[in-house]
Amino acid sequence: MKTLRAARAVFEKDWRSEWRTKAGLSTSTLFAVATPIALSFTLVRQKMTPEVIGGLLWTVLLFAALLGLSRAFIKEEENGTAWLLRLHFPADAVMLGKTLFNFSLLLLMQLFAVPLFLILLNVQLTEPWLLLLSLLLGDIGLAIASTLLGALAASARSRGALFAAIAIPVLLPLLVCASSATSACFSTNIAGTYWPAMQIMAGFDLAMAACVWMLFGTAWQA
Amino acid sequence: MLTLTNLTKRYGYRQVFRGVNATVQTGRIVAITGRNGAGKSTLLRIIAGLLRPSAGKVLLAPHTSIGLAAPDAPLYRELTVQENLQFFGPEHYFHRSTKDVETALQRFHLKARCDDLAGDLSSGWRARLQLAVATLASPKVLLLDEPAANLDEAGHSLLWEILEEQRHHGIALVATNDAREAARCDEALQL
Repeated sequence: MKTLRAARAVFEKDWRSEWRTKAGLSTSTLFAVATPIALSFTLVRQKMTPEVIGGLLWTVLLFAALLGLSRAFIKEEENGTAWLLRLHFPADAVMLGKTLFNFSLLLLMQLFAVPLFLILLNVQLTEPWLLLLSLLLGDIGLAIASTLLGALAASARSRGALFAAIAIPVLLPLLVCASSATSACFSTNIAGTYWPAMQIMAGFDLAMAACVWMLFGTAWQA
Repeated sequence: MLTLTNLTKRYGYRQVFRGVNATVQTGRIVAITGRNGAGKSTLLRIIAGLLRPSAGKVLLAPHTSIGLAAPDAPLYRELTVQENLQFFGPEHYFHRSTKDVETALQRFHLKARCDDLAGDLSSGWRARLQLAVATLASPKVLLLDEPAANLDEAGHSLLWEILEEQRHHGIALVATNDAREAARCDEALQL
């Protein structure tokens, strides 16, 4: 019970800090909003296949997420607050609080970015619920993986670069499956194309959750 | 009781200290002294469990509560004084103030500044807030790194009031370069 309360405190503290500094949210949202605008000019009058649209959407979301999610731990190390966080909070409370923060940051960023992407690129959405499900599964994987990778990279000297360098290969299977599942949402013939990708994404999320559960304590120690 | 056995810390090839042995009984205030770079802050972090020693052991009873105030372990600048206390409070109720937090605000004369952002405080007020956070849960082991560096006369008196109180329920280790401060402690550990 105390762990849950401590996790809630970490989550609320991160949001209060984020709301005042807007460091992660503004960076992510700016990228996620600016890229579809640029794409809409570049790809004007281009006929894009559902696979290309799915790939583009997730490339935008992944890079926007990487910009914001790395901040959760890196700012603790840069500001020197990680010492007291380690001393006063159990590792599992930090893990849970930071994962929930990252997840909610992604949801908020996508609330602006995804509709804008669909409108600017004039995409016909045929399966909105499928899109929501694929975004949800992708976000869970992104949030969990970036919590562990953020904690691992935070104590290194080149934190930001290291986070991106280790996050992209780790998140590649998720990106491929999310693109595949999402492309089905823009197609009229979706039979059998999205289900294996969804299954792999769910498996990735569970595997990442198990990894975080086992390794976070070690990664978070100085 | 705290026991340090043959404690050694190296960063790569650079040895910070070697073979530190000490036993601190409950009710004692110990000054940790030594030249700049002797490893006073590092030793406090090892005792707090925030750094691993290269060799040796720190023996403390399991689940011993520890409070730390150090210049390079600052609080959240973008949170208010009250929010920092609520966040680090023993119950971690970030959204509401507990009795411990109210007591700390009164005791450290922070009540009038409770809605100010920690980043907007002067270094002296920040030092008070750090002390308030470190002592919030009445820790058994209180670790203070250069606690008097930014404190005025009133803050200095408050610091010693806290240290005297700490004798009743635990131990305190004070890393300091100030000879007068070290002389007020019960014993000194020279690095």
